[in-house]
Amino acid sequence: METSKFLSLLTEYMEIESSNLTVDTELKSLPEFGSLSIMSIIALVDEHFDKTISAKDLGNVVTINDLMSLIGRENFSA
Amino acid sequence: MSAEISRISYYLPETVVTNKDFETEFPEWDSEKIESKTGIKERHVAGEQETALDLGFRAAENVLKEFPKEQIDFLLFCTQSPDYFLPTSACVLQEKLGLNKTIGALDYNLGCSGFVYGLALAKSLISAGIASNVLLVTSETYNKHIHPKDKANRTIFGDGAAACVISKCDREKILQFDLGTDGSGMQNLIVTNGGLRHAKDAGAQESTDENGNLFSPNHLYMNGPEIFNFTIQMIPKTIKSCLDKNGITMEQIDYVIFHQANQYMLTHLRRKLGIPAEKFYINLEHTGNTVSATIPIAIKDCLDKGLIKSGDKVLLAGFGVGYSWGTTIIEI
Repeated sequence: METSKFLSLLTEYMEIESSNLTVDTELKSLPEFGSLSIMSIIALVDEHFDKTISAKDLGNVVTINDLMSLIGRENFSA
Repeated sequence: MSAEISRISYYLPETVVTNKDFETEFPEWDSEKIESKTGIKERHVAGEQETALDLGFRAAENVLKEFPKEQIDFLLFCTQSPDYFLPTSACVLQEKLGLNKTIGALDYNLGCSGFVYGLALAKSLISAGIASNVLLVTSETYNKHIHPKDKANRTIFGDGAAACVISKCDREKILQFDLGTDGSGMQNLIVTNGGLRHAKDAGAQESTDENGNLFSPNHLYMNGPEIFNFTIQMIPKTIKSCLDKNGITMEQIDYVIFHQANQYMLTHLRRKLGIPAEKFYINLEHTGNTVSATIPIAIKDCLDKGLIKSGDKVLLAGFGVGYSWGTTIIEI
């Protein structure tokens, strides 16, 4: 998946207002980040990558870049 | 011998807590946002002196208005909120309902999978010739286990009870089951204190999660994301296995009723499984998640609304605390 496509999916799933996400954006700095965001990310990864990521691992994610590493770099192209 | 659900009814406690009420109590809680995410507008909550046994009694009374109680010969009661360690709630209920003394009666302790397991037990009792008319009551009051300042769980869970009669019939209308258990998930939905392993502790340490919800080992703890993970991994497998065991395809299923956990999870599962929205029930608006009562409440509401009718094949799936899950197909 192209990184830009992933960023737009995150914007959609997390219902983020601004469209200026970059791989360096810190997820918890987003005003929309809340109790359901972790579930939204789990749902996105399940639906588009057919992978399960644990809530514990997600808790250690800071930037979107970290999240992409957790999903696996091999799933992304520039 | 074959079995069918011959009567079904439910009871919800009188007290209603709306999202607006929560907004007053927790000013940072946005009632419209709660509704859009969870699909819940309001939930019923048992009174201080009202227990799962009381709710179950009312639900059973409702169903016995339509079915002669003298013909009930077995009582199954499902709750995780019993009145006593002993005796079992089912024995107390036998006397309160005035059921025959010749019946068998027992409790079993399950949460969101409880109704499907109840159907499996009732079907077994009937097919073994032990019973002809089983009264199955699923009743829950999770609100009694939740910390008053745990707004996330208070938002999701409602209290309620359902009662149905499962009867002997000529043709099997409760088809094969797929059941499963994985105790490795026990820590993700648990009330730690209050049993014999860990006594209730007035000085128990309270913790706050990053969203400001309070809980302690005396209260219900739910790791929502991990429960979500368990569900999205396990449900597709159990659905497939159940369809295979019955030799039925999803296209031959007329309607699907899952445990009503929350709207977000149900919508994701529906899409993942490729089930059309018009065949899939989601309704938590007025009840929230009533644990083992959600599926029978949904069946009753779907019958009343004409969403399911005689002859329809309905796929049921319950999943949650334990972990425990169960899937079956019933014919209406």
